[in-house]
Amino acid sequence: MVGPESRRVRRITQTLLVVLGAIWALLWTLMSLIENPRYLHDPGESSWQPWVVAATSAATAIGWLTFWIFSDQTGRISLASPLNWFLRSLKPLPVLVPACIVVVYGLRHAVFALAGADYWHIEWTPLLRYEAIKISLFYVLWLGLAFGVRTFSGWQEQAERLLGLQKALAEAQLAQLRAQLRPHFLFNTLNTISSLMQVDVNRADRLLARLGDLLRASLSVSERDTVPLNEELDFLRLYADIMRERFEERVVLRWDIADDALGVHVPAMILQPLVENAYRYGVEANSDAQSITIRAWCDRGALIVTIHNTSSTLAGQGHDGVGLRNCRERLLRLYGESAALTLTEDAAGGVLASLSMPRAAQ
Amino acid sequence: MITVVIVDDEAPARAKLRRWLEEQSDIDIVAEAADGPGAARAIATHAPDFVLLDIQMPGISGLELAAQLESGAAPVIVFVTAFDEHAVRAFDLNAVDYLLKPYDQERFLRMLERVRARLKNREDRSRAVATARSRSTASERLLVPEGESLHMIDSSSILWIEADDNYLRVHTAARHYLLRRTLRDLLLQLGEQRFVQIHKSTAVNIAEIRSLDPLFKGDYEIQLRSGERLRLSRRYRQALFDRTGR
Repeated sequence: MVGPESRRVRRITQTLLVVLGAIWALLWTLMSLIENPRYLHDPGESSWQPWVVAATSAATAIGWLTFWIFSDQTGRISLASPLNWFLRSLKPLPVLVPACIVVVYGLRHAVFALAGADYWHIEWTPLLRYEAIKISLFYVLWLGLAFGVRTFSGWQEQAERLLGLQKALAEAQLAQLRAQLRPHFLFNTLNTISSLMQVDVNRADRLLARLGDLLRASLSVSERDTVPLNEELDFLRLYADIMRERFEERVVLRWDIADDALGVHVPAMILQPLVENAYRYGVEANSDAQSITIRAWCDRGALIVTIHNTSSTLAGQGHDGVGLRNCRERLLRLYGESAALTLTEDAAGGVLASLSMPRAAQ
Repeated sequence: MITVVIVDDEAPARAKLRRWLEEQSDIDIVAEAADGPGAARAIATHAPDFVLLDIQMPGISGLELAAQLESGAAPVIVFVTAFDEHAVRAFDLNAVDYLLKPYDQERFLRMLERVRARLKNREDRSRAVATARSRSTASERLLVPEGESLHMIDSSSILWIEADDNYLRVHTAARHYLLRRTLRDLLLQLGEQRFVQIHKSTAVNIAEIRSLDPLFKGDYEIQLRSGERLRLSRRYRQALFDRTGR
């Protein structure tokens, strides 16, 4: 994903690289200038010689850094353990130091010899010690810089990812809210009321009150609320009343509720999405009369509620529609593995939603 | 008189439209339908001037139904829907109106005014059908009559199509269907992906072609996997070769 954020990060990183490049160039110019006066006091040296000395150091350093950047053997920096990265990056040092000395002094001797001059330097032993310390210091300094540049872009990327995650979460919540409001149902019901009020004001009024009750109930219910089954069934009846106005003879509703089940507590609004699916895929998708049967009974320690509708298949409906998914997640959070929601097709061409949950849970 | 067909699966919604339409002296409700196939039959029987078409219906959605109409002879279509704004919005640009439920009488009358204006311009009708086709799975499914009823078949199950006077004979492996459509318009609906015209009055499903054998004067004989032999006239030869990569 290339968002405006990552483009911004890339721009900042590029600017940073240009600045570092400029500092780098300045550093080597200064090094050459420092080298110059030393030789000016030294008779028998030509003015090109200090530049060659500085240039060979610069070329070697640049060559090494280029290799380091492009081979990128140290890999990504984990912000959680930056020390690991440092230790890993220090590993090539024993090879780097002698390699750099060989290349730099090799180059210098070669260039001087070609020009017919003599390249003088101090004794090898102190020289090697001096160069080893210099190169190591130089390398560690470089690592510090590289660390800064890399973690900066990593940190920016992380911030961006977090932002994207928050956005996705907000969108998911919004989608859930929208699904709960069921715009299709709401607007169609409003239209039914608009039609009824022209011919039967009282009926329209009743339907409007039902819709109000339904909206109130669905807005007030919270995630962990449980209600006695009879209250949940009252809510379903509200919904069914509204659907009856809209679909008239197209649906026959049957209730078969055992008395001992009425007082059992269930998560509020847990059945509503199931009944809504029965309407949506059974009644609304078929023009001939359908039936919906709601049964509830207690079986040992469990409450079992089934909702059956005729003439629909599971193929057409989203198994993981928002409504069903919410139901399953709520059951899992409230009862863990001891609750289950299954959907099955029956031989007669209908769908049976079956919900079982522990009876004791209040 | 302007003839109209009302299509909605909810009786109260139909009643509302009916009541307001009946107040208009120049409008005649010729039929009402409660589902997609019923609507298709009513439109075929009565050839109304305009149709008030619900989108969410059992069987076939209003959008799919509109896509199945012969574009040249289609009625003016007004979509009536609760929550398919995104689907119908495209039509606004294409000179077809829509009503969003619930709507008031003022909005309803404004829609009627637009319909009256549009009835004078036949071009708008084919545009509505074309837009519906681009918005639905019209190229995947075809509405066909079977006895007294109508149903959808997959366009991939069609082997070949022949034009016969005012009818089309749509051949599948099991049987054939008679459609009152023009070959040109049906091919427009089904799209170029699957079908190719091989003769003035014949089109085939490209996937069903088994072999091509040259005849005389540049004509070819096409043999289908089902054994059928059809003639590829040289006028359509190049188009087929282009498509099959010959």
